[in-house]
Amino acid sequence: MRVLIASEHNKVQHLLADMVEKEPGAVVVGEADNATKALALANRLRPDVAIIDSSLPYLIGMDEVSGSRASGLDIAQTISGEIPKTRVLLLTNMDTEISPKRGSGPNVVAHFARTNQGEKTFFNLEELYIEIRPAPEPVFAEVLMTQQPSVKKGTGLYEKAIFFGALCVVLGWILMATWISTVVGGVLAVAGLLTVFFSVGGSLFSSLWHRMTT
Amino acid sequence: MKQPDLTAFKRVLKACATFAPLKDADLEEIAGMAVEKEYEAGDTIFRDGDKAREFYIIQVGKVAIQMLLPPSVHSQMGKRLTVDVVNPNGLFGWSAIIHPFTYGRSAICLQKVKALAVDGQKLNEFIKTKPDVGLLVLSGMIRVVTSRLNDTTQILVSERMLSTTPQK
Repeated sequence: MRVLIASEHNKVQHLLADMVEKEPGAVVVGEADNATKALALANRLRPDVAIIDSSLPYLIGMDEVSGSRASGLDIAQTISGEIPKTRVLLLTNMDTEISPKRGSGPNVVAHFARTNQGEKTFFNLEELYIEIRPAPEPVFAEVLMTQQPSVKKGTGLYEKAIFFGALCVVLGWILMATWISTVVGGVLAVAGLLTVFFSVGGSLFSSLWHRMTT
Repeated sequence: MKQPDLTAFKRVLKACATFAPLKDADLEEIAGMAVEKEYEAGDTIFRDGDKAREFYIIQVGKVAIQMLLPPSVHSQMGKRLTVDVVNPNGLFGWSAIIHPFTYGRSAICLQKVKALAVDGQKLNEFIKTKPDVGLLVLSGMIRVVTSRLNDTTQILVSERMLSTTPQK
């Protein structure tokens, strides 16, 4: 699948290129930073999918002029109408998604999302490309960031097992040392040691497996 | 049926620069002419040529105001051109209070939008009884039109300068 990306911002272009490259069989064939260039590239390259940032200048964006970045919708409608083979995705929240607090961090994953009957659903470009098109209109969508669960952080089962195992070892040792109950203390200390040993091993194996599969 | 929250509507009117100078009692009167509406991204609120009954003040989201281009320029620029993007607290659809009460542009939601829709005919009748309110509202609307005209002029000038600058 050949994909064209149009956004004024380098950061958004990179984010979208990363998202495209993560999809099997998808490749970025062109990038444009304004609507004029995007239309010219779409006409020349005839991509399967065009991803357009709605906040796109016709030629140049001016911070002090509110309407200078208003060409994303126009270009999305034009490409949809003139090149019916190209599926057009109009992203409507990239001006907020590029703020520093959003879209960063090692466990943050970006998804394309659209609203269907009031509910947001995630989709990929392949699904968008093969679905039946009721009309040559752009699809209004957003990029949403989700936080993937971290393996190392948090108080998961392994951390709890290590804590209680260590507690058993200490209690068992106290029982043995004070001669209150040598047998019970010994069993408790050994059970605690085994719990700590298997929990640390399990935790290491789980983290290694996560790294290999992502 | 859910009763409209007039206090909340009054707050929305107060946040809009066009209505901000009005007295509380007048804002309350206008709030009574409004209903709250919600749209999804991609929805068309109205099209050029539609009968203009309401004007809108955005609470949440963004709306693109598009004009239909004449066929002579279709091939270069497409059929529609966005002339403004209205943000929260912004107003659009003022054709609802100005003769011939027909929208001259289309309004398309760029995001999920929540807006206050005010009945233009009721506002006109209210203005007739209170000319001082009419003066404030109309001067506010003129400010909106002037600001849009200034933006358009700046875009036109900078793009013309770019197109006439010799390419190296």
